[in-house]
Amino acid sequence: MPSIRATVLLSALLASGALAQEPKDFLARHCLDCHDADLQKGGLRLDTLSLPTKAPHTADTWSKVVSLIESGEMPPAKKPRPKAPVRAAFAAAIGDELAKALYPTPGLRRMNRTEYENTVHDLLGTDTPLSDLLPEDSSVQGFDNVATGLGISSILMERYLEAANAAFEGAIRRIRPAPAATRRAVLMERKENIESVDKKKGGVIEVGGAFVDFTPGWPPARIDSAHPIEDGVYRCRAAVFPHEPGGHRTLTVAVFTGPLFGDGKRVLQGIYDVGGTPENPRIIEFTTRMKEGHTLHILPWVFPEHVTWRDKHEERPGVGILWAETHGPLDQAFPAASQRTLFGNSATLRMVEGESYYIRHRRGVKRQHVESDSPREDVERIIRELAPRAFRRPVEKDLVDQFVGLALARLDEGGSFEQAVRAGVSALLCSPHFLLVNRHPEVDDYEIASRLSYFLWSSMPDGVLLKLAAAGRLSDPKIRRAQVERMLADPKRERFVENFTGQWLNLRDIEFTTPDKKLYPEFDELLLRSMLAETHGFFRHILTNDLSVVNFVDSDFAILNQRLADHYGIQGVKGHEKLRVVQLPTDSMRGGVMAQASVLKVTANGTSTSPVLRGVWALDKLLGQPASAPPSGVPAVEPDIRGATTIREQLDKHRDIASCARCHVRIDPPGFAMEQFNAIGGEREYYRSLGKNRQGRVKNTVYYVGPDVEKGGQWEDGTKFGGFREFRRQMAAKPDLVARSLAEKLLIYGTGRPVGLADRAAVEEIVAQAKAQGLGLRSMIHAVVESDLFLRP
Amino acid sequence: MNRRTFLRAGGVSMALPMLQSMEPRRAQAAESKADVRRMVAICAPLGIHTPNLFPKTTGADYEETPYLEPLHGAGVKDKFSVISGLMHPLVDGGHHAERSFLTGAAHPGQPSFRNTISVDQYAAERIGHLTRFPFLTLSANSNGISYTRSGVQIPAEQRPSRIFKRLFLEGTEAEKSAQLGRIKDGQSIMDLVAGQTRSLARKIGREDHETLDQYFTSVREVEQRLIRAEDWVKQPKPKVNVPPPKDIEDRANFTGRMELMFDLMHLALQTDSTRLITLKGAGGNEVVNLRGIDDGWHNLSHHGKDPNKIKQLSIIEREEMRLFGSFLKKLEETKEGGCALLDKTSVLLGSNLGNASSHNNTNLPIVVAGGGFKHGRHLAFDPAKPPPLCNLYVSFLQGLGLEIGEFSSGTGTLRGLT
Repeated sequence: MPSIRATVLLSALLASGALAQEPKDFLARHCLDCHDADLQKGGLRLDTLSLPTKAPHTADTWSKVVSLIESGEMPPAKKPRPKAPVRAAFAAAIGDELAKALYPTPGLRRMNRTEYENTVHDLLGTDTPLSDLLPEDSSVQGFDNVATGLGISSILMERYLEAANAAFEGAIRRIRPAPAATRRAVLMERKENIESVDKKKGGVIEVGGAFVDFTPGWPPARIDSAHPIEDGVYRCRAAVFPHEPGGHRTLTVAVFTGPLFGDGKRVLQGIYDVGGTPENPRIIEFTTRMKEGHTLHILPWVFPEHVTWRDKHEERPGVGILWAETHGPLDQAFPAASQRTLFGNSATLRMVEGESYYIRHRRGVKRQHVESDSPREDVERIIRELAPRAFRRPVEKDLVDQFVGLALARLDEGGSFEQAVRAGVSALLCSPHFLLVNRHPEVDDYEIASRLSYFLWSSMPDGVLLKLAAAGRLSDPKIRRAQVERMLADPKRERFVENFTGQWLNLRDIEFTTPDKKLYPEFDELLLRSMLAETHGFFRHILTNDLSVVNFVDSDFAILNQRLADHYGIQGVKGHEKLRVVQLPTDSMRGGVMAQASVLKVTANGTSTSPVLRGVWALDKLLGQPASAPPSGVPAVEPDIRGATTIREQLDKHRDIASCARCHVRIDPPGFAMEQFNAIGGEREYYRSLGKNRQGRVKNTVYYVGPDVEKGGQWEDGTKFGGFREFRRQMAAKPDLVARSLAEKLLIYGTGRPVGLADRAAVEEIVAQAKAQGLGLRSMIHAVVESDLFLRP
Repeated sequence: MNRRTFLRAGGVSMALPMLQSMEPRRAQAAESKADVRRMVAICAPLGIHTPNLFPKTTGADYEETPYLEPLHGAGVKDKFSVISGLMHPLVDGGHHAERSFLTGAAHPGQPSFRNTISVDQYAAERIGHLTRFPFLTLSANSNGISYTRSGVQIPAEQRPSRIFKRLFLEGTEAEKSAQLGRIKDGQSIMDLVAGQTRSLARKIGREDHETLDQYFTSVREVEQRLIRAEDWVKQPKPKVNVPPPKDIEDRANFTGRMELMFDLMHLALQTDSTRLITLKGAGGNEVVNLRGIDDGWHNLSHHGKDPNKIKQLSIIEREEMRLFGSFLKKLEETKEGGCALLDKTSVLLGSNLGNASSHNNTNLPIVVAGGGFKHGRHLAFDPAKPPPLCNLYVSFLQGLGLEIGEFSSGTGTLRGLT
């Protein structure tokens, strides 16, 4: 191993003569006054910094230096500053050096846990949860699929052993399913519900033979006789109708599946608008996997909320539930389809009954396991068939022999047939040939197939891709293009939509805080779910229609349901169940992701908003010019919701400190522009406050009218804006910046490699190509797939 | 190149201490039972409101504060110190700093942050092999706070019933033999995979590749661990005179959940099942069911100086301190060779947040107990010139009997603790 310290100290850049004259002069003229042996300001010394090398240390330092110079943070304002073209030339020169030193950035990496779960599911045809068994992955440049962030440790390796075991177990159905049956519960025939109505628990009543519930809380609507009696896939139905919805309200129910009591995980199956009448109710229907004894939680989500003491002008709105049923198990195959995928269909295989298995509503059930009449042949066949699929390419005989050998040895030691297969499959799933992607020295067709599928599906390539790879067709850009189109039309693209937006826009943090109930009484779970659906839908719409990426900054449409439209003050959108494309008036505050409630929520803390956090978010996510970390020892701005001081006053104080001002001239403009939205994304004219004041309490709430909201500001270059809309227009007028930022994010995510200064040319190329197609998002994805970075070793 | 450079280089290749801990247990049988040293580190993820914690006066006769009162009430005043003015240099990013609480790694909030080893894992590499469980990483709140050498977060155990089962319940003979079977399988799988990793590295022609290097090292470590696991399966687990705990699912029952955790930690230390424990404390969006609380804990921590919120927050955090006090008291009352368990266990309670409302990561709330340190004082450092918190970790590591002069940003022991 080369000694890292030695390379760092070896060559002094200025003495080495390896760097061209201009960048040397640049450093001498603009940097060394402060960053030399004597001063070493900020702990940075540039006179002895060696040329970029593979060692992350110098490369990182150079990248940092260039990004500070490019963004104009350095040299500081009081020093003479080089003009933009000079700065750009310097950046390009250093970028070339970095590219030389770092090429090729290794793309070899392990799967992250999401990819692991998807891959095993696609490989074995199971849906056993696996990602929770694995430790969390860390992120590099904001994404959790980047090579340098995916460390491997013994802890992880132990967990891979466990996960492989769980995956194998999940592929085998242990009991023979009972014939599919319909189990139905009529709510007002159940004694628990009758009792709830009699005792007026939670105010529930009976109307037209239905159980009418008003809140998602206690008491639960009991449907015990509809509970599945064994695990399997079920078609679920429920009949509901609205009760006293009032003028403009659309009532909804959210249906979750999960255990009846306790905190066990509940899975949201859908949010349904409640229509119809007691005689002709709305029938909700969906199909899902359920466990024995699990229930449907049919919860009324009423918006606007009805508060008994306040809303005396109307009857209490609720949801009538007539009946609910489950039909199944629909998956009647025995052995299970996943078992056939794994074990094959050989006539030598059979299921053998073993010990008794207790389930509550069935008698005489026996656990079964797989036996073989010719175990050696079957073990060998199973492993040989699985290996190339698991490794996503043809596998050399020597290598498969190793796995076959291991499994056969288990048989020889007296292990059962299943134990032998289990050992072989576990070994396959713990092998570097399974867990590592980009592991081939040359980029051949199989490699391309995997790169495409991990980019757009977060999983292994399907049969079509592998077949094309076998035929050597994926080297053809036209075929690749067609495949990208096919993959983006496949439902598996949702993995891309969710993983990419979840990380790019930080949507994964959406539930990190719950908004303060006193300050934001209008917040409810319907809004939370709608927010996420909005941004996912917005991204999907731009993707599907290949719309310009500038729409992420400013768009003339939004993807809304009634709940969001109401939140945004937009008329004429009815129903919560389905989000739809809504054209926005030209003067609308909405349009673009900065005005979406999801983004405004993840950039706030539930109680208060901070222009600093939002500004930092916008700089990184939309402008691609992340701010530096704050200098240590400077106290952060402390929120004050008593309404005494304004955020602008606090930040102005902060900006008086030179080391703060350097970044805050960039951070504050987008931050203050977004200040016109509150912590849950509502538009505001004043801050809500919990401290008493003269303006008094806002009607029907417990909060007070605080100071007027801070509006407007100016960009670093002095361009002023009066408010959010003007700011957004100015930002949308920088399409290159926005496009470059998104191209960079797509490249990081798409290649699984960090993208830095050295890759500047590749990023520009993608922007140029997309530009020819009106900066369309899908065009940009095609450009990423065709870029050198995507296709290089 | 010294070991430190080696580790700093980002966990490349095998580090020396691990080889040491891979020696068969028999080689270290000579270790005397009399001087067993332990360490516990607890992080309160939503901070601890320092105006209620830090006394205004320093030294031994500091004035009691609302949060120290429950500790005094537990009768352990002479067994702990409250420390103000500490921080991790270059560690910022608000809640993100939680990841660096035990590692000291710089800038955890940055998009390319890469963590380093946590102090408990650093110790586990050296003394972990001496106990059935090299370490326990626990959490009352999803993720834990321990990280491996390569910066991988170690999944934390959240269910007391599962921990209890692993620590104290003997399986049936059939279960044990199935477990042995899986261990054997694991051993041969790891052996196979190690060979494949090496030949893959040769084929790629980048034998110094970090990912493959980590892969290979990890596989070898698991092999060693499985050998030890095989040993331990054959040895009986310690017997304890306590019924298995019943998990409490309701997060609002903060007291009940934390009591279960603390009781287990005490049992694990007492039975010498492990000597290293980390715990990420409770604190999420739940509305804690204590009298006077009507808002989510996380919300209350963003109090924005609202007096009502601070009042409610104080109720929860005082309860937190009371629970911590009973844990210390239990350790104090448990004797081992005539000596209190607490004196042999260095305990840390602290937070990555110095001020949860502004998400500041400076002037961190720190309480240190036991471990034979000099206690009973308010040790106040100047927050303008803070010594690195990792100096405390160097003290802790030395307290474990390790000859270590530096750890992460720590350059020596913390002044005034000994």
